[in-house]
Amino acid sequence: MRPRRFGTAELLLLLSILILVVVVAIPILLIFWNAFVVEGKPDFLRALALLKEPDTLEALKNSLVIAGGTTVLSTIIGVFFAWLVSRTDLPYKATMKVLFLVPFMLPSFIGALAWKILLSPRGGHINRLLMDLLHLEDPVFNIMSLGGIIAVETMYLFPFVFIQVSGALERMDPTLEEAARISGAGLFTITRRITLPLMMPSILAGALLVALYSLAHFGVPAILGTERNIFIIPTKIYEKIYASGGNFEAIRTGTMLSSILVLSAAAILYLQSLVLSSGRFQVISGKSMRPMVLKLRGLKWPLLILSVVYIALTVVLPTATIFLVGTLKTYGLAFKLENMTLDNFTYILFKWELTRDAIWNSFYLSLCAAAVTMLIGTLISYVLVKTKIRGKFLLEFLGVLPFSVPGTVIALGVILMWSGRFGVNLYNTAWIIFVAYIARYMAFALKSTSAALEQVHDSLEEAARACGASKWQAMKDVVLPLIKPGMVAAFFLIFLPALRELTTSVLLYGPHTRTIGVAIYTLNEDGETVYAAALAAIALVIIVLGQLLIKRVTRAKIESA
Amino acid sequence: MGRVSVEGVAKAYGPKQVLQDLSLAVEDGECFTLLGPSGCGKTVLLRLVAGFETLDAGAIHIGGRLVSGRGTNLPPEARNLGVVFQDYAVWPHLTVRANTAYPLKFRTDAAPQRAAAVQGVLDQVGLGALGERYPSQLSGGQQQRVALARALVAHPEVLLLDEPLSNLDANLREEMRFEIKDLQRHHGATILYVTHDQEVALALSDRIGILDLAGRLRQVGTPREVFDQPADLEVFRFLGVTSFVDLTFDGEQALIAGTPIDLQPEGPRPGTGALVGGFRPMEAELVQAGGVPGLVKRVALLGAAVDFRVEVGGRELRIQQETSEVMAGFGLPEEGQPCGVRFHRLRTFPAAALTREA
Repeated sequence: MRPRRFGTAELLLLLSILILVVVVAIPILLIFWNAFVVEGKPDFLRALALLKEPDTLEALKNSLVIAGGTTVLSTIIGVFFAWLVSRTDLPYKATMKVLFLVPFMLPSFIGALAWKILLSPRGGHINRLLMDLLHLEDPVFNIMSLGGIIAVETMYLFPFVFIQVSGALERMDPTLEEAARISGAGLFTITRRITLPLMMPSILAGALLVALYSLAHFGVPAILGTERNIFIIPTKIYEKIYASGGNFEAIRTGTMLSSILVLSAAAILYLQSLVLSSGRFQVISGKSMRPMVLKLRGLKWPLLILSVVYIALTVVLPTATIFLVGTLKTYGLAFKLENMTLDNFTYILFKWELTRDAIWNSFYLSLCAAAVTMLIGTLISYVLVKTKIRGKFLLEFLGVLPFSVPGTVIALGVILMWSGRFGVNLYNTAWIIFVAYIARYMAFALKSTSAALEQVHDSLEEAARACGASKWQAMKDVVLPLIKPGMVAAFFLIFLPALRELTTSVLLYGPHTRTIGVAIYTLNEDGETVYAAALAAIALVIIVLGQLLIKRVTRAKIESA
Repeated sequence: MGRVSVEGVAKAYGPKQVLQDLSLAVEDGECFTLLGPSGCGKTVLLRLVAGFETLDAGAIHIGGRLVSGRGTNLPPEARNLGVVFQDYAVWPHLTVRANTAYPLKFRTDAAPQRAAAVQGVLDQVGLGALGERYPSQLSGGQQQRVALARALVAHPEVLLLDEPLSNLDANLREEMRFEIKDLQRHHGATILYVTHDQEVALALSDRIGILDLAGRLRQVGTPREVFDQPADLEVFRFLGVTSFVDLTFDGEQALIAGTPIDLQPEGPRPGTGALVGGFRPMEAELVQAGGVPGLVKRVALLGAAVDFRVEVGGRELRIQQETSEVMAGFGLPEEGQPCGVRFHRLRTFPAAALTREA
């Protein structure tokens, strides 16, 4: 065979590899290098010694407890509600199903802020109310504890399990259960012996996602834990980096903890791929079936009330709190009309430079990051899905990396890479956040665009070539229009989360590059609870408007097609 | 001018050699069908001709112009082809008219002429009134017509069709078969048609080339030639239902299961090795008296015909007769009843070829 010459495909492959190497691979490598290499020599013992420091050890332990607790609790709640809306005759099932997904779009650190306002041990409104009513000496609840963090994380992460399990329950072949019923099994036995085992892969897949996110989340433990000296890995990394002032040991501890995060994330993703590829999914087909529905009888209304109360407590109450506190003239005043004002909002939106900048920063950073990441993601997906060239496996490997890198780790990685060590110093500029966002959201772009490209059968492109179109022309006339919905989806999948991002930007912000998330977080730190709540309320409005916009855009797409 | 010649072409995917030293020529204006089982490399050959794949060895000429091989590899867009794909490959984001007009974008025709050409070809394929529809609003057959119209609109020298009818139901397939034939007569394009469907191949082609699983060309000829005078057992077996009986010879007298038959089998009769006689279901009949003794294993009334499975000399044979003929004769036999079989036509093949295939 003749050796292939160096063509466009090879060029695109090289470009894709180069981008992923610079944006993702080198930052991760730098983290491992800093963690395990001392003065040019690998030194694992010294690295391990750092972990034995009491405060890092404590953070590791807390991470385990919080991730474990959140995963277990989210799984129980997620499976229960999923079963309730897909396998029972609960009234208003369809509405409830949508409502259970609402926590998904709310930023959990705003939730944490609300719960802190409501349930902090001394100042929490509910605690005070209960103490007054019942004449108690001590507060009833303490949200600023390990248990509190687990509870708040669960409120926002259980939808991962809910989505997976309710989807699987709806697609499950009902004849499998009917066969058991005909064989004389009771409902309890069927659930235990047939339904649950069949649901296991979905339950595990959802639970592992919860574990992944609760390990990597910064916001909730930072707002509810840091004040009380409860640290988990991401907040410990933040503390180390900020306390360090460039101290080498502190940065090394940070990179050590980051390495642990990366390795646990990789392990979780590996477990998930094992679960999903285990052949037991076979009995669940793609088509929708009419599943066996359990009659709740007398429990019908009590269970509906339970669901509604759950939504009211976890969604409506914190959201209302944020909006109400955001209107107070001074924090601590009672919620009476004469104490309320809309001036806070105008002040934040138009007058105060700090918040005005933060909104603007978040907006243009998310917009640019979403556009650029989407385009890069499309390029890489194209090479991955549509070309047949040697060396692609390298890109396939690099393409998996973005999925397993938590936000804190990305932030630390870009600090190591872009703080002048390689001749480029972006520290304290918006560029460093931009680069970090590209790395952080690359996984979303790759997922969405590669799915879209896989839908475009090769023959569609070949047909254009046969009609006389060049490679680029076929791309422009056929491939791009067909993957445009996927690209638009990728854009919004990045834009909206980036708008409310905290975990990464909190490690990267400079005096003039606060994002909305960072501004809310630092305002809360500084005791400016009212302004924090008002900004959070504005963020919530922006998020809801964004979600509605996506709905409109995607629906218009469907109708025009 | 639209002659396609393939000379000594080879193509491998990794360790799998799909085509090796394959040569064939499609004459100008001819409808040539490449017929073979799935996995025989016929689609690969078509993709090589289209320029979607690069060949490892050999050369391909279209209309006297070297397009592949000897250091040349023209891209598909430079080959002046029309291609119709198995999955239609009609662009879902464009209307029928826009789909059909696309190839003209790369020609120099003036706009009004273009519009007329598009309407003309849409009329021809019976979609004249559906120009503004989107493919999702069309049936499978209509989408296939769009693909045909698109392939024809620019009057390519050569039309390549890759199993274009295999996703259609039987009635539509039959209808489209005739339409493709008509369109070809009208446009005069050279057609290279790839299929595993022998009915389509026989009905449509001027000539047929039969490929085996190893990617070798077994026989090239008119439909009549390959059907009537198959070059070997594989070709014979591939075209329609076939059955085989063990043949022995006593001088010139042929015997089946020890019974002499009043028929001279056609084909070679080498001195060494056992022989089998092959026939198609209609080339034998059940008789009440005489013939080679057999046992009726199964009887299926198919409507106009009756399908028998008969055991003769340890082999199961399929025989079909017209129902009216059977009824007028001895009536439907019972399963398990002994009977006689009379052969009208037998072709000889070496028995070794049969066992090798099975």
